[in-house]
Amino acid sequence: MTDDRALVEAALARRPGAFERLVRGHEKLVWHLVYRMVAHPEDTRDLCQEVFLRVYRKLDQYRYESSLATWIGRIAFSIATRHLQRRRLALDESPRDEDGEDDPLERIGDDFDLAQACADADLMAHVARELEALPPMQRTLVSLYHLEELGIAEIATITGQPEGTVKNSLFRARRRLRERLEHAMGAVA
Amino acid sequence: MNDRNTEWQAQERARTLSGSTASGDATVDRYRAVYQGLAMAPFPAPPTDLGAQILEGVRRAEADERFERWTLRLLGLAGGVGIAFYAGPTLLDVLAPAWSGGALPEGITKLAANPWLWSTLAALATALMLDRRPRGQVA
Repeated sequence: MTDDRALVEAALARRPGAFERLVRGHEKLVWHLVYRMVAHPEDTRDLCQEVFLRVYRKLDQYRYESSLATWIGRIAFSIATRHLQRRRLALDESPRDEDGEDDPLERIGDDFDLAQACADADLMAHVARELEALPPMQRTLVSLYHLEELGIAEIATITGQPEGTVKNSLFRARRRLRERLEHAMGAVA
Repeated sequence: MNDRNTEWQAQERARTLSGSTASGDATVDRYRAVYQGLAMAPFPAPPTDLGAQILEGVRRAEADERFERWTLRLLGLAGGVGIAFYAGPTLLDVLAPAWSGGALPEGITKLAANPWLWSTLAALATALMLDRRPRGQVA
């Protein structure tokens, strides 16, 4: 938080290179967050631009109540959400939503060795595909929690949702990933 | 609900485990495998020029905003001068009797009677008023 304060104060004081340091330090987080939401590289690039432009204009409103990364993440999330809403894409639905179907997990025996199956490079690509197939909100939560290693509280702040809701969505996302992956791997094996 | 809690615990426990040693819990091991897959799955990295492109965009926006501010100031200045030229003589007519009554020193009265002074002051006041909108301060 001290580093955040120094960086923000330097950027607000227009010290050379300060805003560049801010961008360099957070571009990866913003890219991952926005990409997970919109799943389109060109849109992600444009939206990242929009996020940092908003950060540039609103930085004097940052009150140090959360980490700078969380504050920027929240801006990125709101911009990505607005983009999805403009495109009329639902945050919590996926084109492959099959809630009415039987549970693939039920069809897989306990002896199925997913760890072994995942050792194959093709299957890694399958994980990526399954992640992409999750609804935007779920794949974003999984990405923030497992790849960016943010805590539940931070994710709740970024997404503006209660912690219980974040946990619930995360739980459902991970279970769905596990089910789909085991189902797919079972079909391959 | 209990099953759900148990599964949540398994999901969380799997997150803390590393390596390939079995945990002794099939559910935990399955989730661990999923997480390993996630960590190793190909993911499009940010473009190498993303930071430079963002900074260029911010610089461009800053230049646009500066241009917009100065344009607004100049328009305000021009408007102020115009208003002063139209309203100035009337204002002087209204104020002249008070000044000629000797309420102010002669030098100030002469200066105040100069329409250019009032034009400039009116223009500056208008420009300052127009320029007092909130804006970002980041370089």
